[in-house]
Amino acid sequence: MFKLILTGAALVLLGSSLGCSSEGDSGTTGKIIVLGTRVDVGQDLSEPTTNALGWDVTLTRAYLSVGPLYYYQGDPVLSQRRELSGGWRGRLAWMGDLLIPPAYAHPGHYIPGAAMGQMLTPTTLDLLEGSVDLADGEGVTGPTNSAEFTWQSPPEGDLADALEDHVILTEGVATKGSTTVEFIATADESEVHDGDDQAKVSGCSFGSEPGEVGVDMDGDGTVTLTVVPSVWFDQVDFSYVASGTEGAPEPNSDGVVDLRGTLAFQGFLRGVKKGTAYLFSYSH
Amino acid sequence: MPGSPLPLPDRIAGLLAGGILAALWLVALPARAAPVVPPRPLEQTEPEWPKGKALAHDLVVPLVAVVSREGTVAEVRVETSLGADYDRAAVATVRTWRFSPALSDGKPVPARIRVAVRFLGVPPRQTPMPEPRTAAPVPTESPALDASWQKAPAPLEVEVSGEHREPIRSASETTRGREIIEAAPHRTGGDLLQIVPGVFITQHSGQGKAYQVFYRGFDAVHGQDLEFWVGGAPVNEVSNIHGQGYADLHFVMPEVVDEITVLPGNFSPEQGDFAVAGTVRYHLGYAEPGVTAKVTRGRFGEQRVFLGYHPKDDPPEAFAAFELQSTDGFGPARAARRGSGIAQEQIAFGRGKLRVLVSGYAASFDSPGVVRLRDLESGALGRYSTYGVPQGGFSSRCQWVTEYRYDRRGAGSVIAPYVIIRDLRLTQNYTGYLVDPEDGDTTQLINESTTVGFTAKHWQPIHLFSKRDQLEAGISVRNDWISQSQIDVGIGNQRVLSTIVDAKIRALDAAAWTELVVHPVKRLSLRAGLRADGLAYGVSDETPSAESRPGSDPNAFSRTLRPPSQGGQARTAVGSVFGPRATVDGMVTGGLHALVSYGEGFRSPQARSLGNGEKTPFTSVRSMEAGLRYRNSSLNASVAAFRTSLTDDLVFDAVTTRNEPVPASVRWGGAIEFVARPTSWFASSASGTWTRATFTESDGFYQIGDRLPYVPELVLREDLALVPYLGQLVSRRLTARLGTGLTGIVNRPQPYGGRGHNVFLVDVDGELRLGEVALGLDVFNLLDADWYDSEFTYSANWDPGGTARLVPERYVTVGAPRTVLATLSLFID
Repeated sequence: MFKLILTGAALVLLGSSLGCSSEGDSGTTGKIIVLGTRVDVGQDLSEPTTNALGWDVTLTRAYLSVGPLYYYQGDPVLSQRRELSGGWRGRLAWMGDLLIPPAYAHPGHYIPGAAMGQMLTPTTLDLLEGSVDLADGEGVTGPTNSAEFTWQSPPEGDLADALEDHVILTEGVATKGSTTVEFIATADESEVHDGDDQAKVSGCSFGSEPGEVGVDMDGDGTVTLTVVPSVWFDQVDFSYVASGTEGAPEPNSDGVVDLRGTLAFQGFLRGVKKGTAYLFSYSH
Repeated sequence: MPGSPLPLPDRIAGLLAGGILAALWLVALPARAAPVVPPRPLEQTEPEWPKGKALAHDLVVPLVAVVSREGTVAEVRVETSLGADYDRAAVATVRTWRFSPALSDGKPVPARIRVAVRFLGVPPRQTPMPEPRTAAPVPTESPALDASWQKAPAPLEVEVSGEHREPIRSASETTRGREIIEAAPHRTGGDLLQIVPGVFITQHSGQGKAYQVFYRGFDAVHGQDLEFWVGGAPVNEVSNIHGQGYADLHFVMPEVVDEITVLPGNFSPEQGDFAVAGTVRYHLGYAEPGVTAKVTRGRFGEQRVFLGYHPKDDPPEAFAAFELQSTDGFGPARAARRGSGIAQEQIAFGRGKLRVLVSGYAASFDSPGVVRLRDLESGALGRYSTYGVPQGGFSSRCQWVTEYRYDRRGAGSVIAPYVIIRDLRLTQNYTGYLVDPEDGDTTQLINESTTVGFTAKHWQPIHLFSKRDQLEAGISVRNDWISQSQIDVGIGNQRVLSTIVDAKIRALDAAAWTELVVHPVKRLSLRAGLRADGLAYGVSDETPSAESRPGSDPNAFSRTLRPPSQGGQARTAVGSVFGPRATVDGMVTGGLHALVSYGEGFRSPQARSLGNGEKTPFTSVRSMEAGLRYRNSSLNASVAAFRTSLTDDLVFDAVTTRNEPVPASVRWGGAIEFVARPTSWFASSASGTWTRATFTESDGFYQIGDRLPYVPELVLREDLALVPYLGQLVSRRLTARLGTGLTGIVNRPQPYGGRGHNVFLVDVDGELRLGEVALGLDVFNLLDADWYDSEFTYSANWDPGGTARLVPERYVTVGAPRTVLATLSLFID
C-alpha cells in the first residue's frame, strides 16, 4: 500500500508539471509559418505605358488604401498569364479579348479552398516610392495558388488624409497623338465592390513569380504583391475627357480633368477590379 | 570473429534448441507434481450476524488461519477488525470450517492461509478477481509455508459456479468493478469512460452531447471507432448525421453501472462494427438494498435528484433508478438538463434466467461553442465567454432489452433481442462566418432512428485435447431506420437558408461468428475464430440538387470537397467482410499469463456517401497485441504492446463538420495497468497508455510518417478508494468513503506541427454514512486548474464585419473550473 501511495504522490507531482503546453514540433503535417510582406510595382512608373487604346499613360501620383491580404489553396480565376508590357502585345491581347472575352470572376465560380496565409494590417501605399515592406503575416505550409486583395475603407496609414475617403487615387498624363489629357482618377470603397458586394479582388494569381500560378510554401518567407497600374488604365479611352470632346468634363484650375462620371471612369473601375493588376508571389 | 553475426546454421540450431526447450517447458512442467498444494475447503458454514442484526449490505471480515494436518482450523486471528462483535462471530465461524490439508510432496502439512468471512447483506459480487473466466483454476504452486504472515499465501479462492464468464482474449483486456467506478466522482455514464485505461474524453458542445473519445491512438470522435454496449443494447448509431457511430452514454446513471469491461482491439469474434479500437461494455446493476434517495446541490446551480430501488434478496441486476438533473453551467451558454429512468429485472425462467431492461432518457443542453485561443490569451474574451452564437441540442433515447440466458455444466445459450429509439438534434457552428459572411455558418442537424436487432450465441464443451476445450458460435442482426437532415440557418434568427441533407436510410448488419478454444497442453490455450458481416444500405436522398447559396459554398474554404448532392436519388449498396480472430494464452505461473492476440475488423462507411449499386467500401483494420497479464485475489495487472493498422482513415474537417477521408495509418504503443485490492477497504487502479499514430501513405498533403492530429500520446489515470469502517455510533454503523481520480494527458498533437496543452486534473469525493443517512461531497477539478477540454486547429471567421482571420489557428473549449457538489442520501431498507 505504501508503494501505491507513493505512486499516487508521484502522479500528483508529475501532473502538476503537466498543465502546460509542450514545446516543439508535434510531427503532424504542415507548419505554421511567418510571412513577410512586400509591395513591388510591376512597371517603371517613370516611363509611360501604352494602353490597349493607344494612349500613353504616365502616372504622377498613385496612392492605394490596402486592406488585409489572403492567400488560398484554390486556383485563381484566370490561370493564363497576362503580358505585363503594353505596345502591340497589349493591343493583340485586347483584340483577343474581343473575340474570346476573358472569364472574369463571378460569384460562386472562384473556390478559394483552404486559407494558406494572411496579412491583416491595413496600410496606405505610394507606388511612386517603389518597393515597400508591409507588416508580417502568417500562414501554413502547403500549395498556394491564389490570393485575395482587399481595399481598406476608411484608409489607415500615412496617406489616409491625402486619400480622403477614397481607396485609390491616381493622377497622371495620357497622350495620344497630339492630344494630352491631365487626369485624376479616384475610386471609393463602394465603387470597387466585386460581385459579392465586397471591396476585394478575388482569385489573383499566386506563384513563385508574379503572374505564375502555384507554389509550395514550405517555410518562413516573403510574399510579394506586385501591383501593375497599367492594368487599371488598359481599357480607359481618354478621348471621352479630352478637351473639345462633347460632354467632356471641365478641367479644374490646374488643368486636370476628373474621370469620374465619364465612360473613361468606367474603364478605370474595370481595370482597378481586375485580378491581373495584383500579382502575388512567394519566396523562401 | 568477435562481433561477427552467427553463421546461419548456428542460428538455426539455436532457434531449434530454444523451441524445443520451450515445448518441453510447456509440456513437462505441468506433469511434475507441484511441490506444495494449498488447503481446500470442504465444509464452510455461513456466519450469523451478531445479535441477529443484519446490515443492509455485506460485511467481510478478513482473517488469517492455520489449517492443521488433519484439516481442522488450529489457529485463527482477525487481520482487520470491523468491530468486536463481528470479529467474534467471524472467528467462531472459521473455527467450524473443515479443509483438506495442505500437501508438501504429497504429505499433509500445516498451512497458514488468508480467509474471509462474509456476512451476507446482499448477494456477493465482490472479488476475488474473476480469473480465468471459465473456471477458477486450481493453483499449482502454493505459497511459502513458513513465510511471515505479511507475505501470507494467496487468499482462499471460492469458485463462482453456474455463470458463463467471457473468456479473456488479450493481455490488456480489463474490468473495472464497482469499487473503482465509485472511487472518483462522475456525473453520467459517459464520465465513467475516464476510468477505462487509455481513454481520454472531451466535451466540446454542451453537457448533453456525446463525448469525443480518444483511445489508443484513435480519435474515435463520438464513437466511430469504439463499440459501446450497455446492458446488452448497442449504443453506437449507424450513419448518424453528426458522426458515424455516435454514442451517447449520458442516459446511464453512474450509480447503476456495476462493472465496465474493456476489450481493446478486435480480437473477439463478437466484436463487430465500430470495434476498430476496441469495445466497452457496461454491465448494469445496483446493490444497495431498499430505496435510495439522493439530493445534490452544488456550484453553478447544479441540482440533481436520484431515486433507486433494489429488492433486498435479489441479485444486483434487479433494480430501478431515476434521475433528474439541471445546471446553469459554469459560464454562458452552458445550461443543461436531463431526466432518465432505468429498470431491470432478472428472474429464473425455465432452466435459465430472463432479464428485461427498459430505459428512457431525454436531455436538452446549450453549447458555448469553440473560441479562439488567441482571444482568450489576449484578454479580448473572458475565460468562459462565448461568441454569442446560439448553439445546443436535444437528445432522447428509449430502449428495451430482453435477454434469456441458459448455462449448465459449461454449455449454454443466450439470446437478447432489443429495440432502441433515438432522437438527436444539434445546432452548431464551428466556423463562425467563414463560409457565409452575412448569415453565418450555423447548421441544424436532426437524426431520428429506430433500431431493432438481437444477439445470440451458444457455447458448449468439445473435447479435442482437454475437457476445457470449447466451441462457441453466435449471430447478431441489427436493423436501423434513420431519418436525417441538415440545414443551414441564419445566426440568431434561425431562418432556413438552405438544405444540405434530407435523407432516409435503411441499414442492415447481419453477422455470424464462431470460435474454437483448445488446450493442447495444460498451460496453453489456443483460441481461433472467424466473423462474417453482411451489410446492406438503402438510401433515399431527398436533398435538393440546387447549387449552394452564392457566397456560402461549404467547399469554398475546405481542403476536401464535399461531394455534390445526389438529391432525389434512391441508392442501395451491399458488402461483406470476413475477419479472423486468434489468441494464444500461455500460463507462465499460477497467476501470470502471456497472451498474443490478432484480429481483423472493419470500419463501415456513412451510408450517404455510397453510390448506387456500390459494393460497400470498408476500411480494413488489423490489430495485434502481445503482453503479460497477472491475476490474484488482490492484484490484477497487465502490460502489453499493441499495433493497429487501417487501410484508410478519417480526420476531422471543421468546415464540413465531419471526418473526411485521409490515407492509411498505423497506431502502435504500449499499455500498463493494474487494479489492487489488498484489503477490503482499499482499492486502487492505475493505467498508462502511450501511442504513436502516423500515416503510412501519402495523398499530396499528408505524408508518410506524419502524425495524426488530435490524438493524445500519453494518457494516465489513477483511481483510488478508501472505505474505512469507523465504528458504531448511536447503534448504527459509521463508515466513510474517500476517493480520488487523477487524469493526465501528455502531448496532444495539433495540425501544422502544433501542440495542445497537457491536462492534469484531480477529482475527489468523500462520504460519511451513519446507518441510513449519508452526506457526501464531490469536487471536480480540485486544483482549479485552467485547462482546455477540446483543442482544434482550423480556419474560422468570428469577426463579421471586421478583419477576418482565416488562416488555421487554435480553437478551444474551456474546461470546467473547480466544481463542488454536496449530496444528502437516504437509504431506506
